[in-house]
Amino acid sequence: MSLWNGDTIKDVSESVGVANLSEDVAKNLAMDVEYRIHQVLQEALKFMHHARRTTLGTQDISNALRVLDVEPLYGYESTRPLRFGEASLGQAQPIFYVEDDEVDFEKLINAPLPKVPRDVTFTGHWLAIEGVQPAIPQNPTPSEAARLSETTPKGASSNTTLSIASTLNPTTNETVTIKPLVKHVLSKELQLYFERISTSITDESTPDAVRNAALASLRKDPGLHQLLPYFVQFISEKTTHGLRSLFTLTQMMSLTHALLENDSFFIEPYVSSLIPPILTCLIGKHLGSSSSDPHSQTPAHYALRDLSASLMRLVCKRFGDSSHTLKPRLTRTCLKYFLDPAKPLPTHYGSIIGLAAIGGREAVRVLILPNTKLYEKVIRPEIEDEGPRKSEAEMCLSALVGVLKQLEEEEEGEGGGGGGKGKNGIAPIMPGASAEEVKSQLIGILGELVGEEVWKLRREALVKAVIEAGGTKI
Amino acid sequence: MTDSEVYFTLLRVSAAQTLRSAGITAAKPSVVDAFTDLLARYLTLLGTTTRNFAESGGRTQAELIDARMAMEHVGLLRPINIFNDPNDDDTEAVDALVEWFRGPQVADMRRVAGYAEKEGQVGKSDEWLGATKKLSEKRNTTV
Repeated sequence: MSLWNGDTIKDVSESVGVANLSEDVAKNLAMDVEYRIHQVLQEALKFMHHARRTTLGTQDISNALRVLDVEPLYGYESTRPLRFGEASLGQAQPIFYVEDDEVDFEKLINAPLPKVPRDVTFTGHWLAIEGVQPAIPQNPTPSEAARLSETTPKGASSNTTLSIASTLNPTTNETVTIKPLVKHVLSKELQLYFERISTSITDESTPDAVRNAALASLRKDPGLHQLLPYFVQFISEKTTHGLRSLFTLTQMMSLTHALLENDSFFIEPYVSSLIPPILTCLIGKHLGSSSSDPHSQTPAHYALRDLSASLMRLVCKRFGDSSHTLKPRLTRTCLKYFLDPAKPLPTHYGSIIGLAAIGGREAVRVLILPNTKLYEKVIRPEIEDEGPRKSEAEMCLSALVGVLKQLEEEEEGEGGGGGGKGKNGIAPIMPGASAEEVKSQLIGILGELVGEEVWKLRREALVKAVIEAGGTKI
Repeated sequence: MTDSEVYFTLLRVSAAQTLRSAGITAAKPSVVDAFTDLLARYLTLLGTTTRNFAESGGRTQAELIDARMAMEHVGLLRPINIFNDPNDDDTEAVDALVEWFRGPQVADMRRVAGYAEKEGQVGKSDEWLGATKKLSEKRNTTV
């Protein structure tokens, strides 16, 4: 009939003090108990629904009792979980009771006060900077991020992106996984474009016209920005692996040039990745295959180095102001290679023209000029001995002379108009100095070999500039 | 911990101190919780009654007179002379309350709570008060 057992009622009555209760009374009481509980529960459920909850709480019951004008039940506010202990009566029917051990007040009073919860606030934090997620506490840790990304569905495009990057860079797969939360979705057209361009540039058999068209497209087309990191990676990879092939290196430099020319690229963050290939092509020890004719006057790698130097000039001109360390770093590297006599002569060639390209007139005046005399000691024995490296040494010599010419070039605009040109055969006129003295001064500054060459040029302004610069040093 | 849990826990400390000062050293936690619940309801009752009196007087801000009337209503201030002559300055009930506050029971409660009245008594008074102050500061400046 009712949910409540007559025995339960009898137990409760015994605990209150009423010893024997007849069956009927117990049954009636049970029915009444059920009705009361139903009533209370109904009211409590109303409270729960109105509070938009699905969990019935003690507060709901308290409110229900209040509404029904019943004495409230005290002491159910606490959220400490109730632990139920078991006590068996010996009839395999356990009785459960609430475990409620006595607690000492001293402990209660001296217990540490509870942590006050924070108010609802909101702040901002960086989710990702330039595609990289900083490791601040508000961002998920890499393990959590991996777990999250597993659950997101992987589209077809993201797979092909990863596979393209991995086929081109089998050794540098790390760059793809360093940024797990940035899924780079490339459209099919872009992927196709990238493949076509990269194969046509590096393939020797494609006709020049096609290659030029590819480079021209890179130079002009907008909307290629998404491919920029892939191109940069491609250049670096081909440069490091293609040191034997001049053709590859030249093509890579042309590619770099085209990328730098394109207005729509925001290339500044990639400058530091572009610099190493350029430097390699400039001051690399051994560019191109060793089968090139060593006796030809200008082997092709000098042309490559010239191209790299002009690229370097372009980069420094554009980005030298925005990055404080770019120019000093490059200058330091080139100078180091220039002053190291153990490095091969073509490296010296590259570093000389590199220094001039980076720093212009000032670099020549401050860095190259003082070292010219010392440098002569390196190239003189090569030239005089008619050794196998004579041509290289002569190239270095002509590089030095060419670079020193820069000292004079700036002055042309100042008003020395026709001063530097066409004075062949006319002895230079110095205030109060004879030609011989000037020449010996020049040789004193620059050393014999270079000094002779400069003298042969017969450029008054240049000589003047050199002597001035050399004079201030001493 | 939600807000209400924090308040309940803080109030439980006061309840335990009151019981301790009365001489009870230990009890079941459910008993302490029931006592705390009673204390909370009593304070709420005082507050709502005060508010009711204030609103009856057409005010939104409660005044001291509202609090006194609430205490009389609740039965805190005794004896109440219902045949009150308005010209009669009968402050017996309030005097009794003030006396109680000065009495030994409250003194003992203060001692348990750590409010040292004598100079020599250093101790947990500073820590407990300091800790509560720090908590409220943290609470107010957490934005």
